[in-house]
Amino acid sequence: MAGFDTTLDVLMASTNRGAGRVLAHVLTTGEMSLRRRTVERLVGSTDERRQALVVTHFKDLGHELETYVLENVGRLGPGLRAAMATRRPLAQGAALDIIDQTQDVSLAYLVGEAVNSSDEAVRGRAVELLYRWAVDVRRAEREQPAVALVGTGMALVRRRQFVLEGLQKAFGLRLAVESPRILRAAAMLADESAGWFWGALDIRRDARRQALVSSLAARLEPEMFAFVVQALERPSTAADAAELVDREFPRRDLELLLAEFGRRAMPGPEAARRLRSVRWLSAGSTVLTTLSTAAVSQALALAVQSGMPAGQVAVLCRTVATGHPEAEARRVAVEALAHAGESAVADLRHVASGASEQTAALAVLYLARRGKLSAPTDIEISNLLRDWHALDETERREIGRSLTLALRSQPEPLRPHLRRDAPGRSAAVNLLRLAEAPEAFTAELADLAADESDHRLQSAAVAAVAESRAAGVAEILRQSLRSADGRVRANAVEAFDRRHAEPEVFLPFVNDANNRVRANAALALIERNIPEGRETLRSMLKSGEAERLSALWVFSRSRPKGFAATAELLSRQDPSGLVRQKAAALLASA
Amino acid sequence: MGQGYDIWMLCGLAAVVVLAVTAISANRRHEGQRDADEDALWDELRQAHDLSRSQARALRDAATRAGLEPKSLIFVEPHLVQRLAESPGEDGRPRAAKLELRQRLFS
Repeated sequence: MAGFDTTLDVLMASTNRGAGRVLAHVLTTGEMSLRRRTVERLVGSTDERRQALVVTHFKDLGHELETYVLENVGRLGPGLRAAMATRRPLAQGAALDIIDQTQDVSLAYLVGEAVNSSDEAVRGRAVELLYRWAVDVRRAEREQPAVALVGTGMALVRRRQFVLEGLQKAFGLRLAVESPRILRAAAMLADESAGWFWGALDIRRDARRQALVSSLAARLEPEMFAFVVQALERPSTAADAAELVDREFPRRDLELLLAEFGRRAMPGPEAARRLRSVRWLSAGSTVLTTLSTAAVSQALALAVQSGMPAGQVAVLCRTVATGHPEAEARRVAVEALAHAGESAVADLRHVASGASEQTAALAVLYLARRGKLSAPTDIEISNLLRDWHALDETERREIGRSLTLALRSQPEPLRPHLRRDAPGRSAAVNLLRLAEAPEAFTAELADLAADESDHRLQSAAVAAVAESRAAGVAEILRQSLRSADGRVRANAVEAFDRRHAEPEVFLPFVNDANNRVRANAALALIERNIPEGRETLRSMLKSGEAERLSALWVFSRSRPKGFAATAELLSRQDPSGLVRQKAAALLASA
Repeated sequence: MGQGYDIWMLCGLAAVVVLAVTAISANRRHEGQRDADEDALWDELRQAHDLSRSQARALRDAATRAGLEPKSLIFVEPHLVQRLAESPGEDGRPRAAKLELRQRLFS
């Protein structure tokens, strides 16, 4: 197409106005092959006036060429700029069409210029586009973890900067005052770099500030939360921001607001102080019980940071601890309550007696840590036993130790839980052992120790009752030696060992079918220098894996002569990896 | 006195108008914009395609017949040039020259 290319060369180089008309004629009504060639030349050109023709007549190019133009929008910058600069609504509208269809936010500055168009429709579309982009950026930022904003979120940061650039142009126009969407979009994305925005907001009488605040008072969508949180930190806007957040938020919105607080450093004392009396942090508010755990955590942190009286913080924590459906949120609230000063004791008691599963025991634990568990109530003990499974071993020991005196002097609250049919009997026996207070419950423990229906509980009861010096315990233990269950017999043998029984008590058990029983008997005999003890141990070391492990346990307790050589041999040569491991651990601790 | 004042006023006004026209014209020249003188564009295209006077005339006639405005549009209307090439030679010229015109402009 050399001939037509010559024509194009002339038309593109000519300064004659007619050349533009001829090119426009080709673009709008020309034969398709010529039109395609013309578009390709114009798109590839750096002459902004000529490129602007493609932009202006974009809608007339036909589907195929429209697609071509959209795919090459990166080369169309000069044309788009020139089209926008013509201030002709047709050209500006066409430029907006292209930008909108490509969603190329790097051209946001041109959209910002279009906000100043003489044509109302073009203005409206430009405003709409900027607002939509601002919302998209905010939503994307919200969904991205805060850490990612620094690293992998660079693309998003650039998008934000592009849109801000467009908004800056629009914000500087006189008509921004009449366009709440421009003000809101600018507020959505305004960060520390947007001095042009914050500068205007620092002026109380600035019409844009007044229009924005008034618009936000009427409607505060989650995309505006970043603005509100930042505004709270600025002395000139803090009061307005505090007023904006003092409202009844729907649950989801409040979670998003708290998440926005969470994305930034904790507000300074001055900013946080303004949150002291917001509705969702007030004592009567129950909205916190509907929030996610992360939001609850953030809300309580804000409450504390706000300098709210400790009593008010405690009430908030209590409300969550007793009313939140999620155990993790309740745990967070109890932990916050535990740090809410002296006034929290009453609220901890309230939680200990009124909270649902997994939470009451935690409150009991914190009462114990504060030394306020001298007289636990029936309901506190009930709740503690109900939640016993939620505590770890260390916490159980802590509670057990702190209840020793209380259980010895006031056993009544625990007694009903040691009955054969009590649901918390297993936890109660465990508590008793940790509290070292079996004397007051000998009768109940004796009954449980005789209960063959639950051997696990029975063995625990035997171990517990063995600690009691009460009369009749020896008889209970003797009966337990005859139990069909190995664990019960093992605990009974161990109990007799602790009670310094005669060697004859243990001799019958060196051949017991249960390795734990044999190990306990061997240990007792070794400690009493009875040869059968060492023989039993030797025999166990030649038996199966379980027996060898039990024998190692005996080693760890008694450390008989020559045990180191045997343990070393086991650590190197035993066929079982577990035995080798245990033996090595034993040697290391020797 | 009053009449003299009016004359000077008129002269001054005329001078301002002349200056303004000159400035606008100079500015447009400076920006590389010339008047929509279609002859100028036509000449540019004719010279670029190295058309003979008769070929140019044939094209111009065809553009006039088709009512094209500006006439330079004929350079981007292949079907009109095709029609011109296929038309019987009323002016006595050989048809091959017109066919060559089609080839030259849209090859």
